[in-house]
Amino acid sequence: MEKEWSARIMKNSTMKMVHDDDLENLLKSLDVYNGVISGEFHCLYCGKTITIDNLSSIVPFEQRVEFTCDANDCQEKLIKREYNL
Amino acid sequence: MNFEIIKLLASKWGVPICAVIAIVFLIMQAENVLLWKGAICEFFSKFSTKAQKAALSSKLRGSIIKTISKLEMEKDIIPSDLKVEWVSSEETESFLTEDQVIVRIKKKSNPQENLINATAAFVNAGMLYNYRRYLDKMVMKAANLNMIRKIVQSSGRNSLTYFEEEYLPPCLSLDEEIGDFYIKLKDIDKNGMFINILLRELSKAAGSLFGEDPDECLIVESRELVRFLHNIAMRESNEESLLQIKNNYFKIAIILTAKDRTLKKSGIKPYIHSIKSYISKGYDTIYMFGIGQKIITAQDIAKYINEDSENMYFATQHEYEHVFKDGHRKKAVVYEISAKY
Repeated sequence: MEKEWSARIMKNSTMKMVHDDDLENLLKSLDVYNGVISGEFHCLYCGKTITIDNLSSIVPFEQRVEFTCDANDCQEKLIKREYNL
Repeated sequence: MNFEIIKLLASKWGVPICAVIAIVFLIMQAENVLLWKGAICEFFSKFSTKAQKAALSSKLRGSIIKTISKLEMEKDIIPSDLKVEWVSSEETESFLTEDQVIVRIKKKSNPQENLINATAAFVNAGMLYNYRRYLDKMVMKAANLNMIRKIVQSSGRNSLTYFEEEYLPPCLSLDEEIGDFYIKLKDIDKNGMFINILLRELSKAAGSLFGEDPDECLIVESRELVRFLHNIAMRESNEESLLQIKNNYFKIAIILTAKDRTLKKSGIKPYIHSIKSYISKGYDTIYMFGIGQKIITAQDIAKYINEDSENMYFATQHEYEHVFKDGHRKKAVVYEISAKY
């Protein structure tokens, strides 16, 4: 089921991005790398299991680190979500 | 500027002064420097992650700054800049406190796809940020797509092609009405009315409601405003059409300085008369257009208005490029004539 979240994509005219080459390091620093590898996380939009391959964004949600996946619909929702708030 | 001119200037003023001039020039042209940097880095992006990151952030920032400054858009309409912060590690606590999403940029993705998705995220997150909840959703969605296209145009031909062929079709197929509004806004934009009238009027109208609950009347009227502007954009030059709209939120009139015979016969007086007449009838803003040679006429009228000390109205100039139905383009101006206080 789709969850409501308040985190923003753009803050103070700044967007945060992670490049593929830095992803593993970032996930380790956030202490979620092993969880992603073992399939513990699910997309906030469609519920699909998050993997290193399909991970599209990292979202702060209810004091936890969560994710969205790279399915077209979920990417679209992520880009448009601030408008739909 | 060719090498001979640079040599001549250097011998005349000395290298340090020329260097200062060059630095000032580069600062003033920051957006073009960013776009050049983006293009150069893109060339090397297959070999280096650093170049790949720099290509995306420079092109994104350069095209946003270039478009927003060229179109003279106020911050109420859209933020004027976007910086990219590349993250490679972060403490969980600060990530949760900052409450900001980190977007992944895939190495194997088409660079245009990354650029357009980031531009779309910028526009959807920032355009009319404080006011969009008061406006019609379809109008806003179509306006966002139109703004993404305008920014992407500054990023180069490949980006625009990707936008038109890959990004836009699925967005338009979501709803027939979005497609219809998008095409209308594109026509309106060719006539210089998308930013200069539509977005400014939406911003002003929604701004008057800020802090209150949304009003259904403004939602309906924002659609009406699109239809009104589209009728003007699509009219033939000899066709009479309604050039004013007066409802609860939008009280605007449009003057096209286009009739040679009026000018030859009576000078600018008929224009001044019709501006005063609109003002006395309660119109808040009069938009006066001058296309090509008519720019001078529009400038004369604006000068007259601004120099008339008894006049409570002021004309502000905005420049744009008018695109005719057959595709040819001309320089044009639109004056926004509204109350001084």
